[in-house]
Amino acid sequence: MTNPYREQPDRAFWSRSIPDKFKSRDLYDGNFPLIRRDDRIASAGSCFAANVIAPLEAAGFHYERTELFPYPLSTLPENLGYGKFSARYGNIYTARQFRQLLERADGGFVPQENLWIIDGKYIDPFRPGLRYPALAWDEFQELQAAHLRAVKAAFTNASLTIFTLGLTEAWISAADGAVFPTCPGTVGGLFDPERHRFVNFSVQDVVNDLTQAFWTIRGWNPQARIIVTVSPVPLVATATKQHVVSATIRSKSVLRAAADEVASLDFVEYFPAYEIITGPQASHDFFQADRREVSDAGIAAVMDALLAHCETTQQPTQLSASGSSTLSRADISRSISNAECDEVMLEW
Amino acid sequence: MAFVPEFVISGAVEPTTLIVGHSHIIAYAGAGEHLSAEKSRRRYGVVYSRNPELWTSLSEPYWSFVLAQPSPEICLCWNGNQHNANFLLETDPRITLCGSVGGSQFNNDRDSKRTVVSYSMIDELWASDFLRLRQVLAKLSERKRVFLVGTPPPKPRSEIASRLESDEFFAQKVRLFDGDSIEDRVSPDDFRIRLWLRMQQTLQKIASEAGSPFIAVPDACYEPNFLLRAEMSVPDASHANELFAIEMLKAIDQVDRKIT
Repeated sequence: MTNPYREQPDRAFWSRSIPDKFKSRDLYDGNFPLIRRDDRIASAGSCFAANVIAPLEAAGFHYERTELFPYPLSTLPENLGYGKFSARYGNIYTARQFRQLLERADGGFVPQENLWIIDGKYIDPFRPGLRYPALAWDEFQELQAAHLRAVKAAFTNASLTIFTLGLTEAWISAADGAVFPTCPGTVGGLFDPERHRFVNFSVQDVVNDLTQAFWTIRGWNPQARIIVTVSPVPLVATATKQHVVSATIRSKSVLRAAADEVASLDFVEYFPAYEIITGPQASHDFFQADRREVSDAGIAAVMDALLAHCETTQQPTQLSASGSSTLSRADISRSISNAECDEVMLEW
Repeated sequence: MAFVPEFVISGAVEPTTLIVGHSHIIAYAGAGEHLSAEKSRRRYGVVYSRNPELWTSLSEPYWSFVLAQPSPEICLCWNGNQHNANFLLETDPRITLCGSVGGSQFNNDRDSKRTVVSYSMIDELWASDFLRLRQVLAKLSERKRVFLVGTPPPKPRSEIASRLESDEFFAQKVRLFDGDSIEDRVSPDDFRIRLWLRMQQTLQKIASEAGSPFIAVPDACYEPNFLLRAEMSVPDASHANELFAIEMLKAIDQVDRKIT
């Protein structure tokens, strides 16, 4: 008797591929190479989008950054990972948040609730944790405009964007649906039940938002490719009535289903970081003791699988322009200032 | 072997007012003599260290020496090089400040090639230096009447470039970076002016918090664009001369008359 399963490879059968023969890298069987040697890579999203940066750069790939600060400003501490990504947008938890960021960068969407003034500081509601906020209205406008220019430049310049889906739960403005990165009143701002509403995005919502976002990027760069992943990290908390475990599974299921649909676009690939960490085959030690944070072993397993499907590079990462030459510029400025202080004292 | 004191007071005998602080105090040397007895009741002495290692980093013995003097007043010059220390040369990436925080007279630089940094980030960079000022001011104010004075405005890019060109040691280092000329490699006037204005705002705030008078740099010391007047400059990238100090001392008298 024949049937379609007879034509399937071993990887399609649990007993033939799990547990002894399992390799994380085997989960991906899409287009090779996933990342090309000469790709300029941008990333956005939640944790995985930040976790990939260091290993990719160490492997010699170019990570695009458009909002760098020179030394010594680059040494100042910053909150919540704003300085990690291609531009200083920080973590982006939902597809709607990403879509709106790109629309704002394109000049197509201006949120009505675009500013919080708290204790004399002008806070960006879409980057509420920024450590160095504006101190005046005109400064705020210029900083925000410059940031959005940098966002557009990052995704225009990048030949490849890695986007990690994190959440479906979000808080939006009742006025125009603008999505805040976190509930107002948590990281920053003040919660107002009249102005702020809870949403829990559906599969269709996420598909629509991702599709829109990715086509915006393609509009800026017609050759751009996208890798989409789903973060395995559970919710910190849920605003629904469900247990946080149930809310997490609902959320991740929606995101995983949506990612599957969006990956049907010919410039989008899905990478199974989520399955590597959370699948039944995954090692228990891929999560830390809190069963929420991904362990170093888990991150290593994901990166091993990812890099196995990338072109190798010739050179380790070169220092960016903000590396040694900027250190020398500030050093020269300082040495001139100090030398003149010495000279003027000597002459006296 | 003759005893050589580590600290020296130069100027009037039995000064009423000690000029203390970092290298900008040198502009005040001799400035007091130009103010006739009719115009100022003050007699000035500048306190400095014979140890070159202390010229840019003032230590506890210096402040203890100052406090031990009988002079009832202190004119404190603090640093004054923050705008030059890291930003004399163009940075990479090139940066700019925007907005009216440092003053409302600016047109905002909309050069999209420059990264915009916030004033609060600059404040953070300077925080440890100004924390030290707060500590010194508090200590001095316990026993003396302290005037905190403004610091010399920035100099034009062309003047700084001229100074760098004349010093081959620095010129060679500066030419290593991108730019068509030495002047091209110096940071824009507008940027250093914004930094300097923010410095003066911060000094004023610190003085106010400490209950000390702040002596702002008078109009006579700068051009309408806030650059130091040419006749008040010494041939370097940062310091002012005696003419600047004379105006500052006049300003102390004026402020003091208003207070008292």
